[in-house]
Amino acid sequence: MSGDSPAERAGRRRARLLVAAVVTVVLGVSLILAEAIDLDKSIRPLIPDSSPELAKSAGVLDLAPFSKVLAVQLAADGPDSARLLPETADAVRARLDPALMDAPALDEQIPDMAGVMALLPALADGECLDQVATAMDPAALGPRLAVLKDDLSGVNAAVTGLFWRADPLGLRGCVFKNFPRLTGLPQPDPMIGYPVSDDGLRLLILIRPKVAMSDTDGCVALMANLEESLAVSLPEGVTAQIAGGHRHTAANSGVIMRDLVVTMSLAMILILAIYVFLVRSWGALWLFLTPAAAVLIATAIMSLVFDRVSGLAIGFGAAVLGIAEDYAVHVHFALRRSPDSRTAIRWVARPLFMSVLLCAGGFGVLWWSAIPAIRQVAVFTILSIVVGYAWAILVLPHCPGMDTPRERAMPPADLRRPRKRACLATVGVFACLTLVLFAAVPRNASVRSLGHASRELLSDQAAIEKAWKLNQDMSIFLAEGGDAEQALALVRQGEASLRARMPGLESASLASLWPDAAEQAARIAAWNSLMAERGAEFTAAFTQAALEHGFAPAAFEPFLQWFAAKPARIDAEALRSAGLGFLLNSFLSAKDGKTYATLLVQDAGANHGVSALDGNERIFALSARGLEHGLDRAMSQDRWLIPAAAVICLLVLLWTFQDGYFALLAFIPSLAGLAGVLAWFMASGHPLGLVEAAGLPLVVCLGADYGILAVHEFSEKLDLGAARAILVSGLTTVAGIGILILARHPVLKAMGGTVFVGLVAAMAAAILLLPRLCGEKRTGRDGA
Amino acid sequence: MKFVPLFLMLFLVAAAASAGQPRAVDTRLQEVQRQMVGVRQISGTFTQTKKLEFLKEPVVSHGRFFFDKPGTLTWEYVSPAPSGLKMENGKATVWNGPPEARVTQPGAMSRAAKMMADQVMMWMNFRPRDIQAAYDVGIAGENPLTLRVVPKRDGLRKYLKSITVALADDYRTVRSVTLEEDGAATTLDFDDVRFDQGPPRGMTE
Repeated sequence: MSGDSPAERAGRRRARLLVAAVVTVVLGVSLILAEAIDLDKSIRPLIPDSSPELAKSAGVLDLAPFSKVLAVQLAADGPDSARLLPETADAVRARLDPALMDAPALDEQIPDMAGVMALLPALADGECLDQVATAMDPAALGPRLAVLKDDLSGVNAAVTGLFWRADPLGLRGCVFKNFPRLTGLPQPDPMIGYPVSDDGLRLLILIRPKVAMSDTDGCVALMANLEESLAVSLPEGVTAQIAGGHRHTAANSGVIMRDLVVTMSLAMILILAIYVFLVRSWGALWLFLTPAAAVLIATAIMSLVFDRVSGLAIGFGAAVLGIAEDYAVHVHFALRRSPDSRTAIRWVARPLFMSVLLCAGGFGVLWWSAIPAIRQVAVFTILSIVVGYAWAILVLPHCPGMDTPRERAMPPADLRRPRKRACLATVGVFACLTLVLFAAVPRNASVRSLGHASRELLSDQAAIEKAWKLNQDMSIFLAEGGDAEQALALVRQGEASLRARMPGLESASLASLWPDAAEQAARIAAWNSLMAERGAEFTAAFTQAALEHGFAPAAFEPFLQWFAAKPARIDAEALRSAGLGFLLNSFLSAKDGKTYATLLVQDAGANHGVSALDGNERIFALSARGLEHGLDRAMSQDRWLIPAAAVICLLVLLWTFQDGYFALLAFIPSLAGLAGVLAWFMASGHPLGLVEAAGLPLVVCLGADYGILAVHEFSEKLDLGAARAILVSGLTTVAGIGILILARHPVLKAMGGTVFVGLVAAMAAAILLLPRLCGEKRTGRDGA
Repeated sequence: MKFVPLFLMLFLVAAAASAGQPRAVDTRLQEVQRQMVGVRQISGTFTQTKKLEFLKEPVVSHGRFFFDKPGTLTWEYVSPAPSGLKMENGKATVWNGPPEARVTQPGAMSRAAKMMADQVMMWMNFRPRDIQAAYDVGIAGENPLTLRVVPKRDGLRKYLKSITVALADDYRTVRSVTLEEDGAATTLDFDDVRFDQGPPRGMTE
């Protein structure tokens, strides 16, 4: 370079200034855009959206009855529990932030008897109407009132005292029999105001969050407030456990953020350490900037392309750091050994471009994954790789200290041909091994594998579910309607469909307590007819009998007023007036202008329920089994991504080498990586889940990337320091991805583990196996 | 709510006489607690008079009770309409009718009875801190010594406004216990209260 003319030096200076200006502007704009990115820290992007019903179900997850409450169990194992538990519960409730959550008042949970009786005419079926007619018989009134009087003074007084004035004839059963039996939520002790266990040692606070389960920031704030309330309020001897979807969301959000910071930082430190030990030049500083710039610019573009970006996709950035800088490493070593930067770029641009194509192809197939977050990982990684390549080719040669040759050019490597039989046999063995292992590895379509749940969280949830029989073996369906009547009509259809297929199946919804308009009208008409015929006679006889039994004239005023009133139709307001607001909220929800009615079905242990409602696109299944069924289908769908990635890789390799055997040789690390990771799954018992399956195409393309660089040395008469470059870039890639094993979120951990093991196997094959499969020396690729 | 005053009686049996200040209430409750130490069983008979706002005449009934620590309670009405409840191992059973034609009541009734019995148990396993956590305790009169307790919790207050207990002059027995409910007042007069002598004669096992 010292022999450059002043004009050349000036030209380089101008180019350098231009590049610096452009890079500064691009990085500045990227920084602003990346700052504004809307990160989704929930597990929602992990729910496959390939099937419309699964996508819709995921969209309304937070409308399920159990999603609408947070259960806080207080436990005290001692003689003071009866005093401590309600006191503590009150103290916790008092500290809850009303903007984030509340606990329903007792009045909302205990029926008001006059309101309940007002529901009766619209619920009075034939059997009930017969019961009413019998109770109205003047001859039956005397004995009935005598029993009532005894009950008011005997052991039944506590219950009788609640309803005797509104229901002296004992007709409330006609209403109560329509109450959904599978509410799934324990009823409060009317004295204490909270559900209390039989042994009195546990108390449950049911909290109504005011933030959606998908609102990660809201859930984090809610959990922080709740945990603070508990920390301040819990006396010695009282413990608390929390269960609910909002806790899961908050936990996942926290873990994703922690993983983002930890893995990114560690990956940067590790990559820097590798540069310091293996590159040993100031150029390492520019190398280090490459992945950082690539990730920054890719993040900025992601913020423009997607409304919300999964935190997990960005969390995969730690791995991307290790991949994106590969090109810079190769350019760096080429610059050190070539006479000038143009020559170096000319030498490496094509093989590196092939490598970009390979990676883009491998990650590109992930675009067809059923999981939205995986698709975002694909876009994010491809963007990072393309930016990393562009940075290496366009920016790096202009960086100070990068364009000066520092090392003596090494003698050309021996040009070798693959040993055909050995190459074919190796490919065959690895391909068969991969197929056999892929068929044998256990599958896992569990929903829980997609979300972070600490041991404490799972243990709390299991303890609460067991103690209070919450959410046990229950399928949840949500019917979508324009209003409550429409949604409930769909629920009725769904229930009828289920019952037709599975007679005796136990189910629950608000439909039984809120009949359709026509049915209500018919029942009210029958009621009015009975009252018109016998009402006046009954009222006179009842009033007389009451007086004869010593009751004051006003004793049954609520009953007689109801009896004389015009029967009203049942609607949301009527149910709220009857003190059934909590029940109403559990079974009916509104979101985005739609009303959703809940149908709970006792899960018979199969997917029959789900399939029974298939075909009605306005009813969504929210059962764990249904979701797992959907995940399983999504996993089957994602399975073809692996051969697709393999085909893309082979095509790129063929195009690169224009030689079938070289292409097969370069493909061996991919197969070795696949076989290695599947063997690891088998040996460790680690199941193949959705995320692991999505990681396998990455192993294929990154393995082929090693192959292409290793074989390049055999196929071209060029030594650009490829061996050292492979070592450095391989180590940084493995380090970046390996860091993900430290992640606490299962998705990042699974992805990191899968790709890490696969890449170690692929690297070993590239470094140790490929040279042994090349035996024939030649003087040049074209025989020259 | 008729069950609650029975155990007010239990702590009042040994209640000290002096003072009308909150601190005096604390002292008195602690004295009762001390005097209850060692008692394993309590039994007796009662006469219940219930005055309802909407009944012209009060309803009078008779019965007996037996408590065996730590958690077995039988409360039985003998006349005019036989009925009763038994609380054992955390489960309540409620029945109606005479022993030869007893009808066990459904779960809802048992749950209500259990809640009542739990309140009774709280008094029986006498701990001033528990009582004062559930009730505001005050001294309403001196001759005879009368205590008035008011439930602190909304849930309980829906059923019971207050309990007033008048002690006999010797402070060993309760003269009367009156429960004030919404539109009703129930008075219990206890008789033949015995300690650690097993269930009363004739009580259903």
